[in-house]
Amino acid sequence: MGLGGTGTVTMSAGQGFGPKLQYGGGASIDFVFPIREWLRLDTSIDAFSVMPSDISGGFLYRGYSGAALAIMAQAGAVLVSSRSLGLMRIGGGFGFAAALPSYWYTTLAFFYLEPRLQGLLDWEPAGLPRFDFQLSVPVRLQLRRDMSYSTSTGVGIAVLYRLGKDR
Amino acid sequence: MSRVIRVSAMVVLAAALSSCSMFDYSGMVGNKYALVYGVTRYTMAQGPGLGPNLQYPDADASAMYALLNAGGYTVLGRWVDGNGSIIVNETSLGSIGSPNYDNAGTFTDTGAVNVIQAPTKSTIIQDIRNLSATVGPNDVLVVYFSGHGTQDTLSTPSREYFDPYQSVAYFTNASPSGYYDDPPKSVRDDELGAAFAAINTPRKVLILDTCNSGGFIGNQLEVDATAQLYTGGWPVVTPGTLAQAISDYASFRASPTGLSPYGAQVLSAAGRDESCYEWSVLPDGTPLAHGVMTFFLLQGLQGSQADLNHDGHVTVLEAFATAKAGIEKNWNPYFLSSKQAFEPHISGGPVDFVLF
Repeated sequence: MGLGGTGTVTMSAGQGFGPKLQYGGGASIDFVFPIREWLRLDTSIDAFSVMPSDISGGFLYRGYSGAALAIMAQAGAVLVSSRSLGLMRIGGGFGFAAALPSYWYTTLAFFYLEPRLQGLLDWEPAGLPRFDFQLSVPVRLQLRRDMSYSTSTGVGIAVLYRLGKDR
Repeated sequence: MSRVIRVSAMVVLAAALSSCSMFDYSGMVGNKYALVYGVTRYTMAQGPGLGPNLQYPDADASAMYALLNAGGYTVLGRWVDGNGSIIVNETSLGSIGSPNYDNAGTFTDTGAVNVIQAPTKSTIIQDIRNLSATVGPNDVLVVYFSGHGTQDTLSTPSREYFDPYQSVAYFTNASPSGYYDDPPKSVRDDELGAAFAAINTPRKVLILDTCNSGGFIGNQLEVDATAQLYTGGWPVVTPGTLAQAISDYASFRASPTGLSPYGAQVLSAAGRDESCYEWSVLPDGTPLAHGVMTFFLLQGLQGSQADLNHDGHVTVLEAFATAKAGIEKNWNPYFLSSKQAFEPHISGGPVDFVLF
């Protein structure tokens, strides 16, 4: 299991309005289940927040905060394996999230689904055999029915602690 | 590894830098228009302040008129003051009368002068339609009304109205006889929606300081965790909220009542099922002399209080949040036990507009 954090930039366009950027971030609690040496399943509970866009043109996209449940299959291959450095893998993931945020300053809750892609670099240091440090580049598509499109990317970091027997 | 980090950093940096230059909407700022209405006195047959007459909607309308004027809006204001005078753009144009339905159902308005200038249903709807040729796609239109509002619970789902002049009349033939709302002369949510549809901008804002005004909100995706009849406590997101939000997402059906958030933003003083109030003095001694919601809205907008993110502008959402916070802090704690607490509501939708 582990803890993660992500900084994101979202590009959204409302119906009849143009695209704008919204910055945000989130934190997650991850539960990772190894399936094969090269494949694992990451389930997470995310808390996230997206700031309002700028007000150019006299309009803005509202900020929102909420929670999401996500599941992602991650596959990777060993990039480096050495006694001094430890094990480093490179890989990617694909999954889905279900999000329930509410708009800032309101109690208006709404729901959307979010397909997620992720590039991943995973490092198990030689001196810390139970720990994984992850650097990720997520690409997410918010399937919001009230917007023409909404997609985000960013940078994520996570620390995983391996439970169970040592390998 | 270093290449992955470098590429990732470049993607994020490029996105961050582009926020200032990639999307330039400076040419999309249009003109600002406002229609302001209020009805303090509904009939000359009753004295000032005696039901169905109110005390402060003319003060609400007058203050909103001045505020919007100073904020660069082209404003048309019509209101009826406590003496029964019809005021148009701060000029008195005559007197209202005594709307009445007799036993035969015949409507009369005894003593009325120049009623065509009063904020009646037909005048309000016509004012909105008159702007259809003027308001462009990037313009902002604010429509404000202060007065009575009502709910027809006999229809399913319930329908909500606001009550312009002539819509509250004495019904001789009712049992018991007395003052009632007259639906054909009141403005129902869908009737206002039809008038709004003629205006060629999505930047329409409806502000209602009336009872049951939450019924004018017709969200499609959002579930409001604040109850439509406030009885205290904090709004809670329950499994029911989640289930409703998922259901709304799956169906994406237009609300059967209220104005779609994609056509107009509604800022309502009260929930669909509750009343709101006007008052003279707050419990802490602060003079109020307005509708409670309008008072806190004005308080926020007249200073910099409503500019919550200090960017020099006030959006619809910021105005709402300021009015709501004022009510929650300075009104509801004192009036919860007497069941006079209430909560403002706002439309959903992803877009917010700059008001000032």
